[in-house]
Amino acid sequence: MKKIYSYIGVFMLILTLTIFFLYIKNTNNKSKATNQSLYSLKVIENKDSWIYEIYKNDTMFIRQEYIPSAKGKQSFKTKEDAKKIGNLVVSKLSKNVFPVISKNDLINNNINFENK
Amino acid sequence: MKRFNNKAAIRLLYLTAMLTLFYNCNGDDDSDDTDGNWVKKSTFNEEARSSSSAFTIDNIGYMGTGYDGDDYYNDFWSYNMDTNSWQQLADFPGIERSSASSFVIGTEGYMGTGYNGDTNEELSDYYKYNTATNTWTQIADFAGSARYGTVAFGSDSYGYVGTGYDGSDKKDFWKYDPVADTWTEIYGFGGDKRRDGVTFTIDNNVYLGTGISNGVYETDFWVFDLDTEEWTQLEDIDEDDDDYVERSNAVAFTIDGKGYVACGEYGGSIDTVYEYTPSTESWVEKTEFELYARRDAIAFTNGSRAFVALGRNGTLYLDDNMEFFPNAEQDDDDN
Repeated sequence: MKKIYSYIGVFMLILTLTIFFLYIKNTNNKSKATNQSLYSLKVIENKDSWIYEIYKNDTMFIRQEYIPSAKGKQSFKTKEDAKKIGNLVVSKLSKNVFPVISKNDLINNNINFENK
Repeated sequence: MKRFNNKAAIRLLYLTAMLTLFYNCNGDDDSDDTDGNWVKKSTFNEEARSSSSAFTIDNIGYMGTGYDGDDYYNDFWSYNMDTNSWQQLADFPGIERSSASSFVIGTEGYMGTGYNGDTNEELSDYYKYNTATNTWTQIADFAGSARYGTVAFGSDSYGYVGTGYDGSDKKDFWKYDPVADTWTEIYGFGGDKRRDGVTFTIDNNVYLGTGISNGVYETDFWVFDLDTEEWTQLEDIDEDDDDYVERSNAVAFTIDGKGYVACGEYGGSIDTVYEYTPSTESWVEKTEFELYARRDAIAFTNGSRAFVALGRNGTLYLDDNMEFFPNAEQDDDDN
């Protein structure tokens, strides 16, 4: 009889530890959700303009030198513009949506570009 | 207690040994059958698309338009073979579409025709993409009937679009002259009507095969000489009973003077790959595409490297991008 109690005791201990461990892991994930996701964003300056690169598991996946969807070789004029659209691409990728940027996305985010 | 531990350790050892043996046997079997290895490259994510159109200029693959099961697209992307990365470029200026055609004349890409299911319309508009300026210019509409599921290829001077489906299957061919901005019909293709066939280009020869018409997979095989603009019929692709080259909605590409037909549809989606050697006019089966079997994929090919991406299997739309090494040994660890 005593044996059963000790088995139950050990089992409960393992259960508690597992739950505690999972809880810690989850809260950690949540607090760093944007940084620890599969995808990460890097904004780089390039001759008075800005480029964004998106990495998937530390491997370059997208290198965006021109404003996506816009006609011609237009580049991002500010770091903020590149960052806004880069973050939008990352959020689409994280939601498993095809990471297409439309002209409406550019307009809605007040991106400085020539809509020819 | 100690004895139990020893027993368990020995069991584990046995199991590991058996697994290792089994794994090795498996590896040997694979390499005995066929040559070629597929390696996974930079990949899109789950919500992907099929029936996109693609062309390659130097080491850059260009891909645009397509259908994801709900929506038609008009976005346009480049894939850099050297850096293994993508970039979204200027939108394709025509309406969203699937099953468009594209070809390259010199260093400029052309894309047009296709189908939009929202309006249930076959399309004939055509556009030129300038890689130096990232801009599109509308050119003369395709002069044949509006259609989709064509084959298309280019030379240094002209573009060619033919076969396809405009409500019924077609066999006519049209030539685009970029200097005059005109389309003229060219004659001499003696093959069957078809849609969703493929071509691959080796030097100045364009090889045409596969496709489907009225539920029948076409088995005739043709070569078009870009210099003389003459068609010649070759041995049917089902001549050898062991080969199953016939299919529709496949992709084709060229690596180091050999042509390849991969994936596609034959009853259902398939993953088989065949290599064509022009000097011996013979087909050899290669290592099958190592991820989901698929139809309506795209291929990037610059003559020495080739990539197969996107496509669908039934209603599952696919996102991956695989490079093919026809002479490497098959390896499961790089998928």
